[in-house]
Amino acid sequence: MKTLAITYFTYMFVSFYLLLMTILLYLKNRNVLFDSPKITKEYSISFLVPIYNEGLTIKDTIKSIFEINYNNILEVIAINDGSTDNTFEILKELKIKYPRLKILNKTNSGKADSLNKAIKLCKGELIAVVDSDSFPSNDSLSNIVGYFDDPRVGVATIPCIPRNKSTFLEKLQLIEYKVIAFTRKLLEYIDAIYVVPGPLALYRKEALEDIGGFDTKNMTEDIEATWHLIHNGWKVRMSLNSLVATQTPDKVKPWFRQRVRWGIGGLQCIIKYKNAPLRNKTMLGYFIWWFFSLGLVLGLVGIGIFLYVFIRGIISNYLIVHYSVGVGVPIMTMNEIYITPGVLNYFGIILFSLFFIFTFFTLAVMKDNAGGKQSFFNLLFYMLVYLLIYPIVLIISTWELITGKRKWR
Amino acid sequence: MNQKNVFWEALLLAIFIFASGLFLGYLLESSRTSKIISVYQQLEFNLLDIQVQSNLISLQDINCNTSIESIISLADRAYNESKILDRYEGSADLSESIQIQHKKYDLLRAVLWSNSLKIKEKCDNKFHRVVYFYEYNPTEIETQSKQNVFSKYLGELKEREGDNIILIPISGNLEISSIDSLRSMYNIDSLPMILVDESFKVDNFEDLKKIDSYLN
Repeated sequence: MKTLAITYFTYMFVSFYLLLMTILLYLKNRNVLFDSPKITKEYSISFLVPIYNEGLTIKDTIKSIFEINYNNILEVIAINDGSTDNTFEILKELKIKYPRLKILNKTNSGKADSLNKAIKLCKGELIAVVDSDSFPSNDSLSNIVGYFDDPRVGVATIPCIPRNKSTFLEKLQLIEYKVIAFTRKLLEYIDAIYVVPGPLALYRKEALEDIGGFDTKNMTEDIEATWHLIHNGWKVRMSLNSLVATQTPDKVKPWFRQRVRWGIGGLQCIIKYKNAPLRNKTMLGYFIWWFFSLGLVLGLVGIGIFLYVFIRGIISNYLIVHYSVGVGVPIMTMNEIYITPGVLNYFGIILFSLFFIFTFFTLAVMKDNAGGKQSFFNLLFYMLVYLLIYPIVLIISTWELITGKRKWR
Repeated sequence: MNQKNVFWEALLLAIFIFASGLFLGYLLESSRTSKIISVYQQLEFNLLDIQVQSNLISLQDINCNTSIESIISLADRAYNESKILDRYEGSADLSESIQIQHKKYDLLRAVLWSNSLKIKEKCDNKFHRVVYFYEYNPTEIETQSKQNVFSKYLGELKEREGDNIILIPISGNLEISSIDSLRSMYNIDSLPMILVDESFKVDNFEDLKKIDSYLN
């Protein structure tokens, strides 16, 4: 068998395996997917909101936190991480309206360091971290607090969705966020939720202390914290019944930069926990690390093969056109137009169709979550173009990590 | 909550479905190979017929027109069938059985060529032989592109010239000893190369047009 064919078949098998695993998890848990644990105890909760130049959104964020239906929110600590806009002035105004709002004003040192400083001041049993451009729904706590009755649950979260859905890019991100939320929930059943998103994560204070807070060197402190918690034996839980809206990039460039940052953070985690597969007897070592690493290798090799075939095709076609014109023969003949599909083509079509159906089905299952219906074109574009940009993101992320060209802000 | 057996269940299911898919794929390629074999057998039968005719030429008078018509017709069929063979080869991902068929076709075309030489000797030089030596599965982009254009040119030439020429494409790098001998005999030292009437050789675009002048 040809080397290229073997590579393609390997890709397809891995993709098919992961798809089947997700489908099986859904079939086993479809009746309890939207269940949330009842609240038996109202744990005291401290909110942390790290802020850097979010003068446009911080008012709504703080407002949405104080509108959450939960009786035991002790405090909301807004950490102004050296903002250079009017964030601090807005916070001072909000303080008058919301007496439980505390302002921690500090020089810029990054999100993770800001959170670590604030954790020391927290009085709550649980610590909710909310991004300063995110807006939790009123019921966001009531659906996840119950998880903490299990003393080994270290963190719980809810799905996040784009706040605005007007631009094409935002609509594509809505599809992506819903698919991510759905699959992440399914991964909960094998204790393999690999990240709790920044827009809202509710941590057990004891668990955060156990891992020594957030890693200031990692570009995605939320992924790292989740891995660290799992590494130390803590569980991660998620409820699909609430939502947190977040400000997503509406232009390609900031969107791309955001994804590169996520990519670098993921790579940093793979490197940091490189011994996990051998030494860590949790799902981090058994599955999550492999899942990320395999994704990285397959992504990089895949884009390499694609570029090789693509560039060869371009050069070859250029030469054929050039020579054909010179000799005076047709550029293309009927024999070349006639396509005889091979086994690989059939496999590819079947796999793509399955992924398409899966995505379509996911959106149908998640239809009650905010966001409205998705057009068929958006879905097709998401699968054929949007997802294919990820390997490029991966290459840039790897390059920036290797060259050391990385800054949080 | 602990449902980790799903890893094994998914793996077994994936192996089963994937293996079934590969099996079906293998059947598809086998059916294509069978089709090629069936067509090849018919061609082989016709070639034997021509071989018998060419042997008779040496013994007694024979109708040259009939022999020439037969060999040109057979060469045309072999040429057209080889296009299907090429398409099937391009889409063969699992087995290499079609490549073996390709070798058999090359041998058949080499035999066809040698028979045409015999007929030519006995029946005056009423038709031209255009033998196209090409590289099978070339890795160089330059060679791929060159062969693409050479093939198209020869296809057009055949359409223009009709029964005036007999077009015989042969892979020159499949390590078949008889074909290697033919290459050596006619100094075909690089691929692709077009050999017209065993004497006029073309291996570049500039000389392609000279084939027209040579034939007319």
